[in-house]
Amino acid sequence: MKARAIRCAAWLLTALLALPSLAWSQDTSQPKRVLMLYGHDPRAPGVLAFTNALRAVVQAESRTRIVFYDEILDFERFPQNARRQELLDYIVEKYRGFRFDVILTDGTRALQFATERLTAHFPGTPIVYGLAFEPLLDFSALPANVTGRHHLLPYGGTLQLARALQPDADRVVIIAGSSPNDSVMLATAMQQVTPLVGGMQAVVWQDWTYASLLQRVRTLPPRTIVILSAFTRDRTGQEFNAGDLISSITRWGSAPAYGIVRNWVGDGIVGGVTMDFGDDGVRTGRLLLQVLDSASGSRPLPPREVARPAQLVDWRALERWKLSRTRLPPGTEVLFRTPTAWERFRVPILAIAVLVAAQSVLIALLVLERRKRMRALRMVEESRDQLAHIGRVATLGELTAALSHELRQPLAAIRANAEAGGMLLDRNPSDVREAREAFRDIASDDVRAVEVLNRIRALVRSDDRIAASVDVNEVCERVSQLVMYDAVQRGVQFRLSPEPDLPTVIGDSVQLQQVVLNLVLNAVEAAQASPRIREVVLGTSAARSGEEVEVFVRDTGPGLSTEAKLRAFEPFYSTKQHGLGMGLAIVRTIVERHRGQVHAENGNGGGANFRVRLPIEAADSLRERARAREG
Amino acid sequence: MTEDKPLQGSPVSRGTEGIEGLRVLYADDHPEMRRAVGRLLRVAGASVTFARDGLEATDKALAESFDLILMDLRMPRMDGFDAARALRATECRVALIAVTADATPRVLENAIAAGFDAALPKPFDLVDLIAAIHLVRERRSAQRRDSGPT
Repeated sequence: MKARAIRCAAWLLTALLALPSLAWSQDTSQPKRVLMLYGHDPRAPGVLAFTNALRAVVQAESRTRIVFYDEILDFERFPQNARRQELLDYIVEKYRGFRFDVILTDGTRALQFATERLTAHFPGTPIVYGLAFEPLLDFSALPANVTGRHHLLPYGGTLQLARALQPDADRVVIIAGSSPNDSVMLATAMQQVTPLVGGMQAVVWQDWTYASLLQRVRTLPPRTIVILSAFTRDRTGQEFNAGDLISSITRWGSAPAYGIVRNWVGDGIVGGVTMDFGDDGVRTGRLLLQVLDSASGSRPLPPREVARPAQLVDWRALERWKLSRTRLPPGTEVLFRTPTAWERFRVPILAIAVLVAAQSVLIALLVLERRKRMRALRMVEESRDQLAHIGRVATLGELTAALSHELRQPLAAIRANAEAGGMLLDRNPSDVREAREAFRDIASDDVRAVEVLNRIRALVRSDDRIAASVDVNEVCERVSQLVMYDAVQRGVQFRLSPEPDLPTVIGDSVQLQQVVLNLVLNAVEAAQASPRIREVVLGTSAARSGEEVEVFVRDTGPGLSTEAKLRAFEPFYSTKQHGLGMGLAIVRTIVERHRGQVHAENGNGGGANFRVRLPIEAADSLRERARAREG
Repeated sequence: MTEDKPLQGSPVSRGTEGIEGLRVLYADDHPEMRRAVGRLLRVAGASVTFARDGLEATDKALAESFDLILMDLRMPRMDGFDAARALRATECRVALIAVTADATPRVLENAIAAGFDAALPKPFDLVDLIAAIHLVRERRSAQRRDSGPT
């Protein structure tokens, strides 16, 4: 037990001692030293893209610590060869006793400086280059301790792309700055472009100031291709940020511009066959790491690389210059493509479309439904009119005996008078005076017969619409003439009780006559069933302070049951054994069409009391009708 | 009701036999009918008394002597049926002819049952009336033969 405890303690102690020694070995590993020589302005956007990408990939992928020692050679501003020796002496003196694992160069001239001058003072130190361009240097002639990555300046490819997009262009303008580097780049551009110009006029703009350049680009003829070469300063020595200048040229320019640097796509140029300095930084960084590894393991350097340019266009610029995308060579990458409204809002658009479609369908259905309803309403209206007409004809049928009786009276009188008249004339001597009387009587009997026929016709005609002034007392009078006989037949006392001088109502006298007739016939039938007094009173009165007139029909029948009171005016409701149940329904329909009301109740002394109230013909409506007649 | 004498003048050539000289009571609520039928009867040689309803008719029939009563069936106050029944109830044997504008078989049957001897549908003419009077007379004589002393 004790021995086991001692073994454990010893193991723990060993473990604790081992931890700091591991950390130490990590910390104390020798950092790799890289001498970074900037041939370009390190703040230039392309150079920044390159170095940022390079350092990011080195930091992310390196297993050891790497220390960069930066030297800015500034050859752009100090191109004189005489100064190069002093620069070399300065660097050599500065880093005396130092050992660099790699010398990293930015740009073709920094590479030349490193291989031709510096390498002698740091013998055996491998050199890695980036941001270098052919044909500014013959990369095949470099010594063995040099590797890296260079670009082929893609002016030719860019012009070919421009011509594909602008097949009708008749002019190519190449804009370049005034610095030595700008001039070298321009020379390369001319070398590549000249064989491809064909029938186009090629113009070079190099001798400009910032202001004059902006002025000139505004007046470029439309069928012009602008190729942007390199420019770091104008003829007055004014230096630029290339991005700013390109933005200005493309904003104010009246012709599409093309370039060879990826960063410029997005600043307003249409596009070009472009060099990607950020990608160059990443790949050069990886080459650097390989070189650092191979140097420590004495392995051969990785082979040199040539960057592959990418054919790019800016979708927005294509839109601006109305250049057809169908003319783009295959493999062209389109950047900044603004998604169409359809692509961006497909879901809401689809949802809205579905909603609108659904709404349209719904509206269409509702319109159809409404049309059907209107048609149905029209049919109901027509049916109602027809039903009312049928009702009147049916009522007439019920009254046939009474009408026949009424008509037979004057006919019988006519027959008797005619015969008597004939006999009076046949006499010897003729009684002409009495015969004349007889014939006069025949004429008045005939008038009476015609009145009966008119009453029948008035009941069944259906051509009148609600439009005329109607005297309700006259309506009741006519009805009483029609039903008087029928009432007597049934042993019912029929009484007319009109209130004189009632105002008229607006309506259809035939329909109102039907209303009263139906009510009276029902009342007569009900009164007939009474074992005691059999009486029906048809009366009129003013109602609601003279704004309405009331027609009432009272009988001495058994009265209405509670159910009958509620349902009397429903269609097909009848308490009669063979009743169709339409009489009172028609009554209500007609009354409501006259903007009136009909009520059924039981009288105080028993029996039913039906009251119809109709609005009187107002003074203003009279005036209106008078106006209409005059018009 | 006033009584109308036969109109003056020679009788017409057309058959008025059976009417001439008759005393007739005519009951009808329609004034134009009373006027027209009254005129016809008087031209034919009858004297006519009028009544406006059944009540007036029975009063006059019982107060005076008539050869023939012509009576409308539908009248206010007392209709023809009730009047006929009332007359027959008093053993009045006068010839009673109903005139009606509602000559359905049922009405005619009811009229005979109420005590009428015959019924004439309106409109009617003198020939119809004479035929009805003859029919009544024939029936009366047949009844007398049947019910004579044996």
